[in-house]
Amino acid sequence: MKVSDLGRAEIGERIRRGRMRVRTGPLVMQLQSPFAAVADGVALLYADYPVPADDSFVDFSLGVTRGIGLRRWLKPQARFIYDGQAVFEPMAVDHAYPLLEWSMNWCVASQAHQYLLLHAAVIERNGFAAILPAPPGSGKSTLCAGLIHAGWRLITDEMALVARDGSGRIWPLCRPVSLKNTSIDVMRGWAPQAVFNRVTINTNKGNVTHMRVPSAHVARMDESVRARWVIFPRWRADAAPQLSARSRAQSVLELGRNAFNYAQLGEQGFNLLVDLVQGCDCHDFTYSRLSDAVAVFDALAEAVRA
Amino acid sequence: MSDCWRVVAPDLLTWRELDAQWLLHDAGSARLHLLDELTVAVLSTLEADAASAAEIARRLAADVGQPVDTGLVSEAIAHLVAADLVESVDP
Repeated sequence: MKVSDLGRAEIGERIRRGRMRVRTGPLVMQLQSPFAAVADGVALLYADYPVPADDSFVDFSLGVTRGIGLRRWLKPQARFIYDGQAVFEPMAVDHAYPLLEWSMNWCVASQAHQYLLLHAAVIERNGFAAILPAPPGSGKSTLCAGLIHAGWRLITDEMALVARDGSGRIWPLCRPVSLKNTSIDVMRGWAPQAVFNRVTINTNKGNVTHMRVPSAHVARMDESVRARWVIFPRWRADAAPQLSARSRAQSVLELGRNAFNYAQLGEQGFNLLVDLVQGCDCHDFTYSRLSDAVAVFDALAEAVRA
Repeated sequence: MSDCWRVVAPDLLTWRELDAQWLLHDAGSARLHLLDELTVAVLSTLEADAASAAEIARRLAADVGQPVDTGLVSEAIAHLVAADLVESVDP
C-alpha cells in the first residue's frame, strides 16, 4: 500500500493519532502531529512511498506537536518531539512541515549508525553513482534537484547511507529534496512539471520548500548503488562550468570531516571511507547554469558507459 | 622545544595509502589526518622509537641516502604535535 492509497482524510487521522508510518529507503518513520500542514505535506510529498504494516518495525517515531503553556494560543509554536523529549528549540507554527523534515534528518543523522552517514547528495545514472558532498551554500541541493529532472536518479539529497558490510553500496534514502530561497524559483523554471510543497517563509534557513521525488525514483528506492564519482560542487555566479581532478586522499579527508558518524564508527568508518573513495574519480566542479552542469554530468556518465 | 619526541598512542593509529598520499585515522581522537611524505616518515620513525629531530633527520638520511634538513623535520614534528599525534618525552 502506498501513502496515496490512504487518501488525505485517513493520512490526517493517522498522523493526528501518531500512527502514520512511511518507509523512505530502508528506514521506517512513524509520524505524529496535530497540524494540518504536516498532513498536507506528507500527503503531497510522500504519495508514492510505501506504508508499512501496523506491526512492522519502526526505526524512528517522531512528532511535531503544539507548543506548551501559553504558546498553544499566543504566537503558537511547533515542537519536535522524539521519544517524548523535545530536541530542537520550538519554531513558529507555520514552520511545522519543514520542522518535520528537519526532524527526520536529525533522526537519521544522529542514530542510523548501521550505516556510514555522509553529508552529501547522491545521484545515479547508468548504474553508477555520483556523491556530491558540499557545505551549505554550495549549490548542492539545486544541482541535485536539477539533475534528477534531467535523467539522473535521486538516491539522496542530504545524507548518504553507506553500507557497513564492505560492499561499498549506498542505499537510497530518497526523501523529498529540500530547496531554499532563490533555488526554489530556479527549480520551478527548470522543472515546471515538478511538484513542490508550499513555501515556508522566514525560517532560520530563509524561505524553504520541499520538492517531491519523481515517482519512478521512489519505485526504485530499494536498489542500492555503487559510487563512481565524488564531485565537490560549487555554484559561482557567471562561472563557466569547470571540472577539475581532485586528490582521492583529500576527498576522503573532506568526506570524513563532514560525515555524521565518522567518530562513532572509528577505524571501521575510516576503512569504509577509504574503500569507497578508492573506487571513485574525484573532482571539484564549479558551475553557474544547470544546463551546463547537466552536460558535464551526462558526459561523465556516457564516458563510463562507453 | 623538547629534544626528544614520541608517538602519543601508536596502537591507536591506522594508516591507508591512497595514490601516494597518506591518510591516518587516530582512534584516540577519532580524527582523520592527511599527511605529507616527510611527516609520514617522521611519524613512522617515532613509532619505532622516541627520538630527537636531529636523530630523526639522521635516520631518514640513512634510509634515503641523502641529507635531510633537521629544520624541516622540526616543522613536521610541530605539525604532529599540533595534531596531538606526537608529544614530548620530557615530563
